[in-house]
Amino acid sequence: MKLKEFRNDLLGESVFHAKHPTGLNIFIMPKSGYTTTYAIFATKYGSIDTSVKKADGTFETIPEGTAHFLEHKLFEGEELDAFEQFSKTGASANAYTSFDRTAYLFSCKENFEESLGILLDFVQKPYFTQETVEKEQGIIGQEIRMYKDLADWEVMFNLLSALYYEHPVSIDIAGTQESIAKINADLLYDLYRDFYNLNNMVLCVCGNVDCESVLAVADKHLEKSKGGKIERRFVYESPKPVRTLVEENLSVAQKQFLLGYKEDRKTPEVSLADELASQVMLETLFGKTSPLFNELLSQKLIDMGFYNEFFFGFGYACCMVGGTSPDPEKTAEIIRKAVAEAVKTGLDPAAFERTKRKLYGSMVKMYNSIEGISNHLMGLYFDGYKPFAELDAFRNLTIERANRRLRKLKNSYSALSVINPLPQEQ
Amino acid sequence: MAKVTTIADGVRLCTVQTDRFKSALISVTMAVPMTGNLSANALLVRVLKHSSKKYPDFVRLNQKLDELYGASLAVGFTKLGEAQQLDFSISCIDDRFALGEGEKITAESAELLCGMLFNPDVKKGAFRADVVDEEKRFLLQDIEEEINDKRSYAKTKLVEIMCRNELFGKKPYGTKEEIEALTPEDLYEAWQNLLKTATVMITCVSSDDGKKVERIFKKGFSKIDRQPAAITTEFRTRAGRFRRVEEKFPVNQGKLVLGFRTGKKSKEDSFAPYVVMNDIFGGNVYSKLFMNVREKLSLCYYCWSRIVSPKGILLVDCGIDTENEKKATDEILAQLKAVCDGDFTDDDIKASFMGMRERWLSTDSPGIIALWYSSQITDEKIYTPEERIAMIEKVTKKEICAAAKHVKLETVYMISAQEGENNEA
Repeated sequence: MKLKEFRNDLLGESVFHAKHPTGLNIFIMPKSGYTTTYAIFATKYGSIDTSVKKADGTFETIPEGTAHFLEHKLFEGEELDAFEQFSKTGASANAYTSFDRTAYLFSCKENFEESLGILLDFVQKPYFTQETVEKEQGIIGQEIRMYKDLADWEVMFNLLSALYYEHPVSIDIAGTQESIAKINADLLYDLYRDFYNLNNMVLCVCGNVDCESVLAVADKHLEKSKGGKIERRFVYESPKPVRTLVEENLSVAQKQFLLGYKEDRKTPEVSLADELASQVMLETLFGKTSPLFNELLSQKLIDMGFYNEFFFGFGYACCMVGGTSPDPEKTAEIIRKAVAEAVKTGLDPAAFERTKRKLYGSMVKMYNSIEGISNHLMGLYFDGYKPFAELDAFRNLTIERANRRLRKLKNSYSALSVINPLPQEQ
Repeated sequence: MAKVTTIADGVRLCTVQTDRFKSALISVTMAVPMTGNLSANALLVRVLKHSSKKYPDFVRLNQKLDELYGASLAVGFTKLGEAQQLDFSISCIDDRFALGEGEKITAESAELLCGMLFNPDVKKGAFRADVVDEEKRFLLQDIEEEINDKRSYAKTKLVEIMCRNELFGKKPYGTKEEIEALTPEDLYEAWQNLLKTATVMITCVSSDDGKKVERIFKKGFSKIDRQPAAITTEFRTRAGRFRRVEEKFPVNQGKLVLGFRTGKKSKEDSFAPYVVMNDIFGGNVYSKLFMNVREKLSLCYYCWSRIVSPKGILLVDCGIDTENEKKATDEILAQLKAVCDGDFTDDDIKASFMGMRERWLSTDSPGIIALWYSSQITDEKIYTPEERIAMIEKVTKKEICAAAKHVKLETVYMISAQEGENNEA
């Protein structure tokens, strides 16, 4: 197997890439001086995959929340479940499902090779029975209920449902009580066969590790699988929101809000250069040194929790800004006015440069964390980028590009999500 | 790997020199007895963050932080046993990764942190009233919003009820009313008092030897007449009368918290046996609570136990359907009994040792290293992770059972779902 080295002199780090004969892409970043190792094994299958492309080219609908359900169930084994196996090596294991991927991971200090073997094995060996599927419906049901009480979570999903007509990004990652009730063992096996083939997956390892040991474990534990990369369905959506205001009452102390600007996406994917430009643009406009932040603060309309995010993935992209406010409507009105003004004038060049420095700092700091790095390498691979691609994109980041991103913000494409306090029984 | 020195009366500096990180972290942790003015200290740490003499307004401070490649300045307060713990820290990229020539990011960040503590914008024995008012508004709002996160709210509430006659039952910020009444002069007094009486631990994790940081802080403390106040914590070894408190909220999921006394007489009393006992009971995914309350009975998504060694109490918390409170409580207590009865194997103990080795010895982050040492601020002897693990790996089954037998339920706090629009099922 050929190893390709990607070197970054600024950071003094290298990432090694190998394409395993089974079809799996493997990325390894040894970290000198580190005593721990993190490994993540992931498939490009997340909550937005509510349909799967069949051999005849048609798309078949899948119940919402199946990627997440499958994540829970893969831990099950015929004899020992994965947690029981990891308890023999000491590794601390976990998994997560996001909008566009499902990832299985562990971190360890000792017995790395044994733990990596367990990870590769349990993800490649599904074992479900109707009984264990039913038991899991109870556990995931509680997980869904837990999130339903979290205002941060609700304010975001409500906003997404106000912004998107068709796109499944507005559906809770875990699905709903009703949708998970439709899941059975046979369905899970079918979806497993579709999405969990090694050509649709990636393995990233970072920390106290050498390439030879990772590849040796891969040779021993990976089994060639059928199938290829899974193609997603892109459906163009009008940039107009479904509705401009969405409200929910929850047991919280104060009103919370999230204002979102939907982007007119003619193509499904946002480039890395545009991603960075959007981040710097938002931070320049809404960050703690911005005139807008300080105006809202002096009017007591926001607090230090005021935040912004560029939120995007396959087929969706939006700029979000939110926080706690006694008057979300008034706050949103001031923000919308400021956005319209900024679109006309462009960003302040000095503020843009400062924010760029801040972004650079956060990019460098990320390389402290073996967890951060492994997840980052995975994201770059799934999005079609090489290791360290973000640092190249950063070097070429100009205010012109940030202003182009800024001009995409249109108030007629925006929606406001508000959580109102619900009175508590005394 | 850590070097601990005393740089002033009651002020220890812990330096960890390593070039394996991209960033440096300097943290200053202070501890004072909880008998003091909790609300003034809590508000003070927030006010200090925004009262730098060099960067007096909020915009200039944040511009400076941005110029330092987004150095992050953080402050906070919490409880450590019956001490009020106040934290100040700054994290910045290491000088090696600066884009310009000869930029001294770490030293500038250390100066900024030190200036914040020793040289704030004060006049005539008072902080600036506008800063105090604004931070008061933010702090009061944070307190009001504690209720938003029902899980942490429930845990705080349990401690408040269970330890209502102990200092530990107080909030780390005192009360809302006390905060409302604070004046800029009160904060000045609290600031003077803090520099004089707090026990201090400064932690520096960076690629240099920490000498510069040592000089900066030595100079800062040299002008202060240090009189560190003694810190003690009351350990109630026997459980008092059982008490159950329930509150209703319009929520989807109920939250159950159980509070136990452990019989510990001090933090170091059977430290390792209690830690292992807790791990086997409910500290991890291989523990009894996860395996039974979640995996076997499907009652919840999470169910964990946590031992608070500096206070000698143990908490169990889980999120359940309201009507399952009894079922869940019975199962949690049955699992505790199983630990008492030695209903676990040598392999279970081995798994627990390995799990803890992994977690405690994994120190590949500046934050984890700093936290390890700062959490020992009130202890005389400072342990390294390796020393603690050596203690843990000596624990026997007999000791685990003996520790579990002292664990007695005293208080239950339950948030139950009230009938209303949010009850979907």
